[in-house]
Amino acid sequence: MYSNVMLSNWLGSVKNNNNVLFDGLSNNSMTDQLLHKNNSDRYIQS
Amino acid sequence: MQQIGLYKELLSQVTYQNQLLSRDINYKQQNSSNNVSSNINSLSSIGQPKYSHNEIPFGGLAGGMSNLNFLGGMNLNSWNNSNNHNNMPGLGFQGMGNGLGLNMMNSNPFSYVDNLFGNQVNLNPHISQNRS
Repeated sequence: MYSNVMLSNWLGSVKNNNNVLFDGLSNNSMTDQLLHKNNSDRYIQS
Repeated sequence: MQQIGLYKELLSQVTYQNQLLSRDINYKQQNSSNNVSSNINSLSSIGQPKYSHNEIPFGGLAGGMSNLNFLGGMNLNSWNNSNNHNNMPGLGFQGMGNGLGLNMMNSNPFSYVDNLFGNQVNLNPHISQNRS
């Protein structure tokens, strides 16, 4: 079982990685950008 | 309870990461296949005659034999016919010797004559065998 701190760090790392991946994609549509923003902000909002 | 939420969010972020990676891979594969097809198109133009029939220097691809006759000062066709004593029709120059060396009757520079079977092998599919 992982601690909450470790899970939070892991989650933050995955999110950062996703941001880098998304920025590296050159053909992002408006829908993609909205979806990505939704994914990035979801846990913060909840 | 918070930990379950963290696990769920982690799972969804990893799933989203997979989607992003798939998109990236697909995009790169498309670019790669486009480059390959454009390279194939470039390659297919290699070997295409760059001259029209009248512009080929020294007779070039199709008229090479007649120019060889002129430049050499002798009629290679008649010389070949008179020296072809081995009763092997169709072999031309190659029939009179040991089967090695140049095939003087071959006006297609992108082909060679198979010394074993005597047939002309065309290396360039864009040039017809029967252009001599």
